[in-house]
This record gives sequence, structure tokens and C-alpha cells, in this order.
Amino acid sequence: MGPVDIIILAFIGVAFVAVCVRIYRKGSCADCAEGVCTGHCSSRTRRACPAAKGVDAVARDLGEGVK
Amino acid sequence: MKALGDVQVGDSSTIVKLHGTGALRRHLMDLGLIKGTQFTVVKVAPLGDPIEITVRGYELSIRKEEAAIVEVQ
Amino acid sequence: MAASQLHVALAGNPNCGKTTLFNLITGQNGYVGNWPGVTVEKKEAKLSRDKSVTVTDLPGIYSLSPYSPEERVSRDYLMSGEPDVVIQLLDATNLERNLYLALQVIETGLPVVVALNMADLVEKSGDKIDTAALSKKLGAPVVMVSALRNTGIDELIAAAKRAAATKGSVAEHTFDSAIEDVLSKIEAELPGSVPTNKRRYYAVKLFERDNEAARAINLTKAAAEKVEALIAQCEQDCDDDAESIITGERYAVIAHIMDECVKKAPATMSISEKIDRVVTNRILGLPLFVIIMWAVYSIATSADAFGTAGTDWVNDNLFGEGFELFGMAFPSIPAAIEGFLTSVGASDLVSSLVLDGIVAGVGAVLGFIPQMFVLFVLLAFLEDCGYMARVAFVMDRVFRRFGLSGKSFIPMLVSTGCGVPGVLATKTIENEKDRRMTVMTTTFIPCGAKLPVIALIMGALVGEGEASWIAPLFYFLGVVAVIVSGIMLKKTKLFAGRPTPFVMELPSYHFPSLKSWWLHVWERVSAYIKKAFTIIFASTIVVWFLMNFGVYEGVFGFLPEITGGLEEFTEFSILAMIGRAIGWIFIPLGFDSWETTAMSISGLVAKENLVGIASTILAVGDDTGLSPELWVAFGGLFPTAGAIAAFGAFNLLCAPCFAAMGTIRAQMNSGRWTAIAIGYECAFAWVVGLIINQMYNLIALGQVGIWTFVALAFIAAILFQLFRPMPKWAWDEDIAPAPAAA
Repeated sequence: MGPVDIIILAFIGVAFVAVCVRIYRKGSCADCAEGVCTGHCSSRTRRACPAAKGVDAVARDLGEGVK
Repeated sequence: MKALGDVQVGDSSTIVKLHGTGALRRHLMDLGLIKGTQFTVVKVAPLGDPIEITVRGYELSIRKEEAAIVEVQ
Repeated sequence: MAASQLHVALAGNPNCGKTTLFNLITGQNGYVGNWPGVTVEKKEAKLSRDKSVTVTDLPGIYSLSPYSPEERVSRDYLMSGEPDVVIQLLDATNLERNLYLALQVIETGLPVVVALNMADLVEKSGDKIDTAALSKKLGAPVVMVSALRNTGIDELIAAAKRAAATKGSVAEHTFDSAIEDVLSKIEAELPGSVPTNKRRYYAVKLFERDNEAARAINLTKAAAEKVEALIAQCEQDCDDDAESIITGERYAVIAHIMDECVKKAPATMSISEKIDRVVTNRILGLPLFVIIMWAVYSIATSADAFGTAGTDWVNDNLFGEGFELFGMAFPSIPAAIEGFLTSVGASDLVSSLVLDGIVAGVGAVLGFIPQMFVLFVLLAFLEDCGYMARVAFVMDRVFRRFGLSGKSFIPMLVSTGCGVPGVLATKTIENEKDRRMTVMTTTFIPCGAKLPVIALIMGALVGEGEASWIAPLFYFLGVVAVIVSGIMLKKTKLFAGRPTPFVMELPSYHFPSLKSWWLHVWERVSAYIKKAFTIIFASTIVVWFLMNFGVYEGVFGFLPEITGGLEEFTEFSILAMIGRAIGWIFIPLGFDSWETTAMSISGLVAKENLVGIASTILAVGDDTGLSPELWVAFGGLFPTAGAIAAFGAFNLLCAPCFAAMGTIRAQMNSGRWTAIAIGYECAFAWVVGLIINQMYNLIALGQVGIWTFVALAFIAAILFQLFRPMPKWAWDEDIAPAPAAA
């Protein structure tokens, strides 16, 4: 193992840890895992996220055709 | 006696009387199934249960056993 | 007002939007407990904008009869003296039945404010509700609200406060004069302790022979006998029983109110309605849906379409041969990285990690971007143009035929994008049983991330785009799994009950705005790319490590080195050990190699990860998911085509990714129910895989073994559960009266 290997491995290692921390903090499905949906996956406003809106509102929106 | 369950899908009829006593009878009455009420049988699930009827502008699912106490024309 | 606290009772039929309104005005931070003596949930909370107002959510009921615990707690609370005012919520789309309860609540003599929910829906259909006339007829203020849109709420609260300051409402409606005559005679028999504004209520209750009401006011025996004589005489005159007489009178009043206050619009037919005659037709609706979804998934995965053309370009150029741009030759990404690694003199270990691990895995997943793009372009179009609303409408009909609610279909529609919001969207399904069942089954619908898995299975089964009809087949496998599970579960004690009613409004068809269309697609595709560089990236590293390290001849280390260049070094890896420990479960399904087991497990991280890990494991480093090399290598892991199909079915139906499982846990809010949900999904997936593999062996290869009979037994059991009539108790529980107490 040369110094080049160490550098590349360190680089990958940092990225790996960063990803793990991100997943730990924010969950793995884009942002809304662990049941805490921030609505980021759908749009800027939480209101637009189907997860935050619930079935009735989704149905109503489908019915309106306004997005 | 012709019961609600004997009405063919697509046919309409009028309720003549609710037989029996107690909670089930009262519940059906509260839902609007009373003497003189017109209804249409919309569909019958596979094996005849439940039956779906349109009554008073809404759709009501009703079990065959429940339907048996409803006498129709 | 003497008390500083104002108590508001919220009454209404089941599913009239009461829960939505309650959550809206209280902000959900309330007390949840049980009503005294019964297991009926009691919800109480302060108004979020005015802490001096306490709102109590009564159970959803149809009547104030004494027969069910829900009805009893409601009337007991109304008569307890605690509520200062009642908000009576009505579903305006179903006014007739909702007014039945409203009349009874107004009869209690309490101040009542009538809130017309979903009135906007009625107005839209062209019908007109004259609220002023309605208010006059009912003798209570009427306010139009929309709990969903948050309109009319301030007026409602203001009206409730005004009403609370009054002495109470006086029912304006009167029955037939003969009945009124009897009622006033009964009223005269009531003890003097009954206050004026409640005398009418008790007179009607006594007329209905409501013994609980008689007990509540300590009716003397002599008075009771007089009342009974009055009722008996009236019953004889009317040739009907007392309960029927009152119910009939109430509905007669309602019919009169409806005539006076609701103006039906003349029926006209727009272009949308003409289209809908075909699209939502009882016979054509479902086949049309099947054809359209078939087309969507076919186009997204077919070789001729843009989807695969794009993928091929990505494969051939970015990840394959390299490409030319503006006359300059660029090497492909893996080639560039390989070149870089060689030039800096990286060791075999590092090269292997980067190329066979990360680049192969992440690359395989990224290779599907064009297909995901096409899939979401098509799905978003169907949603934005108004077709998906029709699908929900058609599916509601299908679902209800089997005793399921069409409301359960909406989360499934959301789940075609991602299961997490799909599961979370179930939170507003009021019926707890329906909600749990929807959470359990909604992830059967293939989400976007399952498309790469479907494409991989399809490639291995039939090869290059010859038969893109297989991809839609897996989508419909999901839909069928939902329906079959729904029917089976509904016939068990855990989920039995009446389906939640569901009203779907159908918008006019229109061409979606390009901006919202694009946003829709970009949200999904960007989430997919984000996942590739985060979770997929991390798991390829883990899997590469597990696969390249292991114990060989008693030494732990980097296998390619310690095995001395043995070609099958991965057989000694940690991953192989883990895979073999679990793989036996899948023997009857036709795939038990450690590689396939490892892929299934990796699919739990994220479904598209299965393809990334397949690529890493099979070490076809510089190829992506759609390449024939990967198909061939992947197909080689299975003895038969039946086993490949079984593998596909199992992985599409079994437990979803960890993110979705976490969401299920949060939504169920119970470890036991989470276990039931995940357990059911895995068991169902296993059984389907078993049936596919064994039936393939039986029909195509003529092989019969012990598992053939197990599979046949499962088929018989499923058919039995599907077609047996709804068990007797399944409905009783819901409507049945509380057992008559002694």
C-alpha cells in the first residue's frame, strides 16, 4: 500500500462517514425517512408533500387537478 | 314476503316494513330505511353479500342478513 | 358566561370530516382517552387560537339512539350539562342522512351551530344550498366550512361563541299534528325537574320507548304508565310502532327541508363528462386502466422507446466505450477512473474497491435515470391531466365490491412514486382497521425504485427488450397483491368492518402546465440521484468489503491476495457466509445461492440497491443494469426461468426498504403492528414466490416434489379465503348494538 492508496482510501472513508451521518440524521429516502417527513422530497413547502397532506387532501388535489 | 335481498341488481323498489326489533332494526331506520322509502340495488358482491343500494342520495352497503328484515314491494 | 372555559362538543356522522376539522381547529395537541366505562375513544383539546375554548370530539354516529356505546356516550355527554354549545358538522354531499342526526341534536335544546362541510363540492356540481333558509328551518345558525381547505373556520368559531351566549336552540321542525299532540301530552307528564329546553327531547325519547332516557329523569311509575298508554293509542291509530313513527316523521321533515333549501342543477354534459362515460364506465373503466398502465411501464422499459435509448447512450458512452462531444473524444467514466488509478499507481485493493465496488454499484443504479425519467414523465402527466382521479374512482368501485375502501387506493397511487409518503398519507384514514390494512398493503405497489429491479428481472427472463410486456406484469402483480391481501385480511377479525365511504371529485381533463409537470418529474429524479450518491454509495462499499474479505485456510484477509488469485475467491467471503446462513429459506423458491440472498438483503437498504449490488457481486464492473452481460451473469445464478420470476416476485413484494419500514413503524405507532405488517409482507412474498416457482416446475418442466403440494395447498388456502363469504361476525361487530344490559 502506497501513499496514493492511503489518500484514496481516506477520501472514500470520509465520504462514507459523511453519508452515514447524513442517513442517521435525515433518513435514507431522500429526506423523509424515519417517519419524520420534512416535505423536502416533494417541494419547498411542507403543504405540498403527500405525506404531510394525508389521503383526503391528496384525493382532493387529484380531483382539482391543480398542483 | 319479499325481502330487500331478493331485489335484482339494477331494479328499484319501495320499503314496506321493517321486521324484527331492537338495535339492528333501529340502526337501519336511522340510516333512512323506513316505510315508503325508494331504493335501487346498485350491486351485489360475489356470493351475494354484501348488497349495495342507493337510498336517499347515498350508497349503503348492507349485509344479506340485515336485508332479510326489510320487507319490500 | 359564568365559567371561564367554554365547552364545545363536535358532533357528526362518521366520515363527515370531523377528525379533519378537530385537528384543524385544535392543532391536535389534546387529550386522548376513553369515555367513562366504554372503550370508545374520547378526544379533547383546546382551540389552538383561543385557549379558553375546549373542544370535545364526539364519536361519529348516525343517531342518538341508546343502542351502541358510541351513541350512548354522545347523548350522555350532550345531556350532562358540560357542553355550552354543539357544533354539528354535516357532510353537504350527503345532506339527507346527515340532517337526521342534526335534527336530534337540535332537539336536545342545547345551543347548536350547524357547519356544512364540503359545501364547495356541492356548489361545484351546480346544486345550490340556501343556508339562510336552512338556518330558519333548523332553528340554528348554519355556516359553510371546508375542513380540508381551512375556509369558514373563523366564522364557525365566532358563531359557536355567539350561540353559547344564548339560552339554547329551539327546534323549529314539527311533526305531524297527531304526533305533536301526543308529544305535548307526554311533555306534560315529565317531572318538573326537567328544564324547559330539554322537555321536548325527553318527550320524543319517551315516545321512542327509550328506557335509558326514562331512567335519567326518574320518571315515576304512574307517569310511565300514562305515557305508555298514550304511545299505545298512537301506535294503534298510526298502525305502526313508535320508533318507526318518529323515524318516519324525522325523514318527512328532512324531505321537506331538502325541497325548500336545496336546488338541484339541471343535468348537462361537458366534454369531460362525455370522456368519463367511457373512462369510468363500469365495464370499460378497469380494462382501460390496465391498458394505460401497461403502456406506461412498457414505454418506460421498452427498448424502442426513449427510455432505453437514453439508457443505452449512458451505458455505451458514459459507462462503456466513451463518447465524442464537439469532435473531442472522451473516455467513459469507468475507463477514465481506471486510467487515473493506474496512472497514480493504486494497489489492486483500492482499484477493486473503486471500480468493482463503488463505480459498478452506483453506476448500475445511475444507468436507470433515463428510464426513471420516462416513467415519472408519464405518471406525472396522468396525474396532472386528471386521469388518476378517474383511476381512483374506478378502483373505488373495484375495492368496494370486495368490502375495501377506495380511500385505500390513494396512498397506493402515491406509492407508485415512493412508498414513504404513500404510507404517511394514510394518516387521515379515520377508520383504524382500514388505515392499518392500507399501511400493510400499500408498499406492494412497485415504487419508482423497483423499476430497475423489474428491468433486471425482465432482462434475465427474456433478454433485450424482446418482450417489454413483462415489466407491466410486475406492476399488476403489485396491484393484484394489494387486492388479494385486502380481501383476505378483511375476512379476519383484525380488519373486519364496513369500508370507509369515499367521495372522489372528478376534475375536467386538461393539459398539465409544463412547469408543474417538470417539477413533479424533477423531484422524483433528483431524489433518485441523491440516493445513488448517498445510500447506494455507502452500501456498495459495505458489500464490497463483505465480499472481498473473508477467511481462507484459517487466515482472515483480502481474499484476492490470500487465495493467491483463486477465481472463485468470493466463495470464502463473509458475504457468502451470511448468504448461506439465510439462503435455505429460499430453497423452495428455486434460488438459494448466497449471491441472490445477499441481493435480496441489499434490497432492504433501497430497492434499486439490489441492482447495484448485483452489479458489484457479479463484478461486471464496467456495465450497467441493462447490459446483456449483467443479465446473463444474473440469470446464471438461477436454475430455471421460474426461479428468476419467483426471485422478482419475492423482492418486489417482501418488506420494503428500511426507510419505508421506519415509516410503517411510525405510522402504526406500535411494535406489534409493525411486526404484523412486515411479517405479513414477507410471508406473502415468500408464498407468491413459492407458487410461481413450483407451478413453473410443474407445468413447464413436469417436476413434482413435496413443495409442489405445499404450493398447491397455499393456492387452495388463498382461494378459500378469497371466495368464502364474509364471516358472520365481520359486520356485526361494527353495527351491532351493545349487548342489552340486564
